[in-house]
Amino acid sequence: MNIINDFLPYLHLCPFVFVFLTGACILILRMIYGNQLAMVSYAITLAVGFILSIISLLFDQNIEKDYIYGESLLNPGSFDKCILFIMLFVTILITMSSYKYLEKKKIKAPEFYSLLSWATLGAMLMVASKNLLIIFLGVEVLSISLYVLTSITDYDAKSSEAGFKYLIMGGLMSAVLLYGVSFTYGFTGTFQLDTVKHILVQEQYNIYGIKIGLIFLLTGLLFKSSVFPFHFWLPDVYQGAPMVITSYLSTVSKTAAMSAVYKLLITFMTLKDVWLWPFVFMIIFTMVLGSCMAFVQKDVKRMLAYSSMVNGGYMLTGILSYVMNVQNIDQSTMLIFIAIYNLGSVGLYNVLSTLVKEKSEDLPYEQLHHLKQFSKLGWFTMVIVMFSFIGIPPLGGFVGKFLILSDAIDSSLMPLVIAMIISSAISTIYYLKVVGHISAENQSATISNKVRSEKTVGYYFVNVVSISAIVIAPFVLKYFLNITGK
Amino acid sequence: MVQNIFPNFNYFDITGPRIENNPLFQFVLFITACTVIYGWGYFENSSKRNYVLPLLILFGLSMAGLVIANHLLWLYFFWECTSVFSYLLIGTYYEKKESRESSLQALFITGAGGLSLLLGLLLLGEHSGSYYLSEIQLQHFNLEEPIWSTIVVLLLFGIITKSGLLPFQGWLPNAMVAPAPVSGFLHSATLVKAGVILITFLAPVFQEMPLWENSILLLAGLTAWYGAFMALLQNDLKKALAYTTSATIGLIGFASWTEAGNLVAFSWILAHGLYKSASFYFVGIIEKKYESRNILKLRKLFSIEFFDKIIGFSLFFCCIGIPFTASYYAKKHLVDFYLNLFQQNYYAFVLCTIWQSLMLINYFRILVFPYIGTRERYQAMHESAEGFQEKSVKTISIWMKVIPVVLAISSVLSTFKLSQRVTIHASDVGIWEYFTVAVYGLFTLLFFMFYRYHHFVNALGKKLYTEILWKWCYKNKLRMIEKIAIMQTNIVQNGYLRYYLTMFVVATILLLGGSIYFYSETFIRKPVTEILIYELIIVAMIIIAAFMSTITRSRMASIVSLGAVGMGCSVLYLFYSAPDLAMTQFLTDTLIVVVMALLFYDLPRYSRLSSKTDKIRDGIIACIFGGVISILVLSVTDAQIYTEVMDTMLKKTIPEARGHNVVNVILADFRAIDTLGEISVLTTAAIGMYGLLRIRTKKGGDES
Repeated sequence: MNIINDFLPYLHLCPFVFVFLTGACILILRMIYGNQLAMVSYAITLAVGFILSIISLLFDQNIEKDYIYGESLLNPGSFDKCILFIMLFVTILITMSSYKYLEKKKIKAPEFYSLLSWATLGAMLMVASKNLLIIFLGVEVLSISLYVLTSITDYDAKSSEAGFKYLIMGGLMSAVLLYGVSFTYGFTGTFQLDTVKHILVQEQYNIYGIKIGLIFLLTGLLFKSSVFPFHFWLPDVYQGAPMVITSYLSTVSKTAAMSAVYKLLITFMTLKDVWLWPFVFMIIFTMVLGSCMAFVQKDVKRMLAYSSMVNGGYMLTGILSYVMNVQNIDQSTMLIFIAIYNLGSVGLYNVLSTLVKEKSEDLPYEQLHHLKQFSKLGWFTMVIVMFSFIGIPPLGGFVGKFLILSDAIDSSLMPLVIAMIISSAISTIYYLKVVGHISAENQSATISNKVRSEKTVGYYFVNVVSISAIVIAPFVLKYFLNITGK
Repeated sequence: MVQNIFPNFNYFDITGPRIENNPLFQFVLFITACTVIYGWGYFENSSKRNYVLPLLILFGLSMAGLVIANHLLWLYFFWECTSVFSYLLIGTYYEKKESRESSLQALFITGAGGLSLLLGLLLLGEHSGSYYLSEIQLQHFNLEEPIWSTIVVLLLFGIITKSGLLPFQGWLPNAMVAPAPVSGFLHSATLVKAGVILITFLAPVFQEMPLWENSILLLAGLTAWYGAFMALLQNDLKKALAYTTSATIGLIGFASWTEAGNLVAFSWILAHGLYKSASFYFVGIIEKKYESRNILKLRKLFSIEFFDKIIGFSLFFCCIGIPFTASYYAKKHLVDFYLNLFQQNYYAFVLCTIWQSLMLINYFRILVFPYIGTRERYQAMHESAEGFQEKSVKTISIWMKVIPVVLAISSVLSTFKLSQRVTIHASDVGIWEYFTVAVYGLFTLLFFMFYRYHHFVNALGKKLYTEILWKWCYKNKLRMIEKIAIMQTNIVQNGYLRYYLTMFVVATILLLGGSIYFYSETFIRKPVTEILIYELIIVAMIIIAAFMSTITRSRMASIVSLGAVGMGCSVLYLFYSAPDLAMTQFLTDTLIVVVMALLFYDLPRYSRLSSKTDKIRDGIIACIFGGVISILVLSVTDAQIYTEVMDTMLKKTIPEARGHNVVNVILADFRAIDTLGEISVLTTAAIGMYGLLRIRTKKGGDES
């Protein structure tokens, strides 16, 4: 029993360690067996690693601990744990939908999966920590893995371009973020966000330097969460990246960035007058301009990039309403929106990944034709997800939007509410356009179903999970409204 | 707010007390049943039957839910359901582009209205303290507070888009691309009434509010007149019917804003629902049989069957409201209401009469005019170059014939229900008689005028519709939005990395500059020490080198000048007694110069991508950015820095580590393991770089 007792202080690190080891294991497997080992086995390794991670995440709540190792560095609260759970689950789904796609694209599985697991590790660090340095570390681990993953198809010039653009811009913004971290440390003497908050409440230090630090920090993180005017990387990267990575970018990476922004805003609440109005304007522009730009795109992936930007705006609206009115609003609103958005997106990209061609990542609208003959389930998933994104009751997307709207009204953020409504109205058009194209049965269409990849068990599973999440959401909503136990 | 709504929210308690004795509920179910039977016949031998009929039933159920919903969220839910099913039903013939465009337009407009309605309902629920309609209707609020105006505006926006009142009536005529059962059911009997039904629900709450009263009266009145005139200009039977529907909804809205008008509104909703859907079904029969719904073409046909003429005539009488049909009583209630409302103001009476006469002409044009008369037919036979010939008449299902008859009969039967209340509200029977006579007289007069000039009217109508309404009012607006979006996308997102970076820098400048401007307490502090001459020289060298690196043509020169900037910085560090920092800077710079030189070796020559103005712009931005950062650093140095760590370290250094250089002690003693980690990372990086370089030389070797 002694061994177990000795192990207890480290138990909360298990999810992270499992994810890290998974990546390492895959590389070792690659070293031993080479590329003969089927992609499926790599995918299974990854999924098992993540499932273990999820299990350890769920189990470590009930253990009483006197002493926790590294408490100040990694100590996720119940809200963070929910986010971690969503992220890990989504990554499993992405893994399940990926291996046929990788075969089609001739992407090397070991590299891909190990980078994917380390990217997830970075995202988890961003979510789980309240230490600025660890958050920065998470951002870097996530970003660097994603730079490589984005340009992993070496024969595709667009993919390389996307990776390069992402690298340059991400590098600039990482520098800005680090500058912010050092400013904050210089003026408060701590990396801990809790302590910073305490200091700000007591006003015992010079606030001006902290304000400057905050501006840098926010700039760096808003780049990650692709808020206007830091969204420029988004469409190019989304379009150039392999479909699975696009899916990952718009779900896990985005969620992690949102979680970091949320922690930042909670911490710097007392400096509201510095960031509130610029931030509100940025969100308004994100939502309205984002949906305007999505409206004119001719490529589905580009359109979805802007759509993810707009949804990010909704998430930020939810976060802001919570931060402004902590007493009366429940965190679960954000969780529900994020969960539904993530699961819907995964299903959507899962279907789209079967439709792209072998050599090119472009996906013009015409390539969606004949989806109904190719896969009825895929067609149904797309329709449900699109209707959910539009916000048609009683689907999950409506519930999410509704909760966020009512929170925003409660916090009297009327400009955001109006902007959200305008952008929702515009977004109806481009989502319906997708529905129209997937239902079209144009005889002259040149794209045959032959280029489309096979459907696997993973494909069906992801679609079913996605649909059921969206359809069931409103009926189980009651049980999730107080999940964080606030 | 969520906490207010959900804990008391029972998913199965939809109706509350609103289901008891609700005539609208029964009406909707009845019309649904009729439509489904009619649709069964209409889609005989068509693959669309399995698509349309389930949707019709679903739509009917959601409409029934809408009229009995008590909780505001349920109301909204059913409201949106009707929008969605309407979208799917308008797009029944989704193979056709016109069909897709029209359905999209309908969903776009009603969807936007729906969002506004949601917001309005949420605010209503929050500010009235209850989400139950039956409770809200009983309360009295202080309507002078500004929030109520907001609520009314939001709600009305939802209502006018859904009901197709001006200025959002455009989608209704276009929705007529749908098959007849859909048009008859959705776009005359039920869906478009949703808005006015909601007005009647909310009338007890808002009727004393001038904003509510005036805006409804204005919009509804305008729509009524607009619809009546536009219908006159249409050649398409269904479009003409759609405009008359629009006009009638305007009329109902005109009456429904106050609680006193509820009876009028309800009787009109019922009566109009019956006769208008019957008319649509009749037009559906005509369309099926003679394969045309153009009034002029139909007039040139020879063989209109007797059955059709009879149905047309009898529906015409239902529409104009001859005694003992539902619309007779509806009109009677209306006249009573107007006279009460306007206190015997006879201008209103005259206006109402003219409007009624216009509507009579419309109904005559639709239901009677195409099937009677001989003159044009003879003309067509003798001198027709276009050669209208005898078309074989298609046979239609018996179910299609039955339903208009059933509806016409029920229009008569429903008077039992409506006439019961007549005695309660009838005030002045004499006026009503005059009204009837006046309407018929005017109708006859206008009809002869119209009959004489109907070609001119038709041409005008076509022009007005296609050129102005569809193209200018909707298409061009939509295209304008698209143009703006494209333009803005081209400006904001043009695909060039250099442009994106510029934007990042500009945004950072704005944020930082703003915060410095607003929050900096002291501007720039004075230097602590005197500035010496050799320091100045070094600074000047750095500036010159930086400038050189931007203007030089040679890539090597540019790299070398960057190196010079770094060296200058390290010398400055040296002056301010930070030898370790200077060393690091020195090392890094050397490495960077070497690596860059290696990297750039293989790249193609410089090409000119930016014009002179671009360069000047970039230069200005760069200078401002540099300036902002300099000001920032200078202003921050004045601020009080957290010194605890510094002090502890200074105290600890000598007693614990016996060293005088604090930084060295930290690196090599207090944080020795960290330093070890750093060294190993650096070494790993160096090995990686060596590996990369080897790959390059190997390749080079292969080539040589």
